[in-house]
Amino acid sequence: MPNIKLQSSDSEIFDVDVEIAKCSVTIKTMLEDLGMDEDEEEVVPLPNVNSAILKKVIQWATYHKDDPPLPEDDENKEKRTDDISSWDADFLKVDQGTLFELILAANYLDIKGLLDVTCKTVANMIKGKSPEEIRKTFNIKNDFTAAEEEQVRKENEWCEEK
Amino acid sequence: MDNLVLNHKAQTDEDCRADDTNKRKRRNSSNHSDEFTKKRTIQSSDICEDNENATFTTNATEDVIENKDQPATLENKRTDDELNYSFFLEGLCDEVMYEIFKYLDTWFLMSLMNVCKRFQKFILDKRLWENIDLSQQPLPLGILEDKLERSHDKTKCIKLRGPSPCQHIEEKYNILIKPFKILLLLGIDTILVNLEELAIEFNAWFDPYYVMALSKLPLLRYLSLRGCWQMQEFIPYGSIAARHGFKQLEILDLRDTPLNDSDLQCFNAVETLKEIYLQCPTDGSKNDGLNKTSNYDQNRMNLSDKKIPTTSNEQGQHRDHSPPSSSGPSTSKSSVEMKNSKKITGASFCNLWLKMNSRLRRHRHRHRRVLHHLSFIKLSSRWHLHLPGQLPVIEQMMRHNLFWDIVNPLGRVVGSGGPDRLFGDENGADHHILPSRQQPRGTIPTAVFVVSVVPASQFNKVSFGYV
Repeated sequence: MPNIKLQSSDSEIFDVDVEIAKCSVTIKTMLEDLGMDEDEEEVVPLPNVNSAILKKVIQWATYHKDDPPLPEDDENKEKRTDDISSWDADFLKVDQGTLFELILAANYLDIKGLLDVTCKTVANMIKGKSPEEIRKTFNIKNDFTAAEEEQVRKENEWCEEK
Repeated sequence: MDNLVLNHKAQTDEDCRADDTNKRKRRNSSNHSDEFTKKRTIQSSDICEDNENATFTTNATEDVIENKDQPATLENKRTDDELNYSFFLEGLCDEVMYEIFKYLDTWFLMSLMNVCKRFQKFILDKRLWENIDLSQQPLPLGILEDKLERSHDKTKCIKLRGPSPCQHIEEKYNILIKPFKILLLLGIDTILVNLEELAIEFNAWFDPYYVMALSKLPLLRYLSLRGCWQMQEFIPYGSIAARHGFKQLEILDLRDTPLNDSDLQCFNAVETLKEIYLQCPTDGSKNDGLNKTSNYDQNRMNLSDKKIPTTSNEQGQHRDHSPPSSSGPSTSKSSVEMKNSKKITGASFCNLWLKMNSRLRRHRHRHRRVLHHLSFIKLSSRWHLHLPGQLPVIEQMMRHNLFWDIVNPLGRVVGSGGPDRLFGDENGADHHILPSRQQPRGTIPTAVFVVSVVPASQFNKVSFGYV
């Protein structure tokens, strides 16, 4: 199996099976466009992903390398968030920072499966929480002025009384 | 130091989405430095009162190490630098945020709008308003119009509940609901051209008249008018609507409405219709003897339609396990869901609906996934299979003179043979009247599933599915 070298933002180099690396559409396109030869010792720089995250991403891609390709995004598909596999759930038991880094990496590398599962995880963190709880969970500042907040609260208070 | 910070700010202003990770680090770094400077200047004594800001610095590795000694409170950080995006969820770019928010239903989105301005703005994104489902709770007045204005030509699904009149005094209700009525009436068919699913449930403002407006929706596939109390004198509107509109309608939910069987016949004209749900309306004021026996009952009957059902037994069973209220069931079967009671005494089934009290909707909700009994009754051969226990009461019920009126309220049963013609006489001899010999235009089932979701002692709730 030919390998490919991926370089993280902090200059760490990862030697990865090409097939695994190709689950990233970004890398796949890059390889196709550049027509890289297999025996070439070229290093692919990934300036937006640090080594810790890249390691996680490779771990995920390796585990999922035999997955069937995801179906095309069907707009009518029900948006479920409870279908995260147990392996993925364990894999994503990380702190929030890492989780968001993974989302950004998945987005940058265009790995749909990873993006889906990480976004679902965050969506699950949001579900069932009041605005105040959401702010707390994600360290979000309440940037409404008192008057605005009153207005918003009035408009939407019914949706909090679950 | 100021220059440094300014540089960082300049960098952060560049709109380079893919660069988010690094940017965040830079921002962190700038914030920390900024904090650091200010704190050093003011020599504040309470700097270290709060160490809780660990979460958002976990990734900015070097910066964290550098600035570890000067922890700042969240509040300070926020007020000091309005460019502070170190809070990750907030700091995500729109595309990524959409990827997360698309999994949330309308209700949670509404709640998120209260969190911060960034969310409030972002959630107005049209893509998040393609499926509007607000049916979990009755909407208060004044909100409805606002939310509905967010719908647009790509919106595929709108589900609303309420507002119920009891929330407001009647006069106010009528005044407040007016704009929404107008909104609904004026060109819903030209604005919401892609609407496929519409639920307007549990309210007292939906008059039968509006059915005509709804019937013009070109792609409407699922319509629920459940619990619309004003649906009386439906025939004039219903018949026009059904005859000239509803070209794609497949599923119609008319549970808890005061429609009667002649009203229902309007929908004979809808060729595409596959499923109708019917159920006795809730009436909390009635408290006669029927209540006790009908608390749990709910009969679900699948009627064969123009299409001869071809689903296998297992599919039929599976179908029956799913809650009837689930949106968008898509089988080729036609189903009619209605309430039944052991004490059927009235001549008209719809009178019975009106008498019965199904106040225990929540019970149904709780019980509907619990399967206690499954019976398979094959009418043509009298081969009955009861699982897990015998349910002779089902057979008794099926022998009731009104049963076949219930099974086929649209009057598609040919002939008026009593149950004995279906089951053979009292001696148990099979007459095989149905359906092989007198094929009545394919409208009578060859077999019936009976699924009870309550213990046999409380047997009232059965579901019928055809094979």
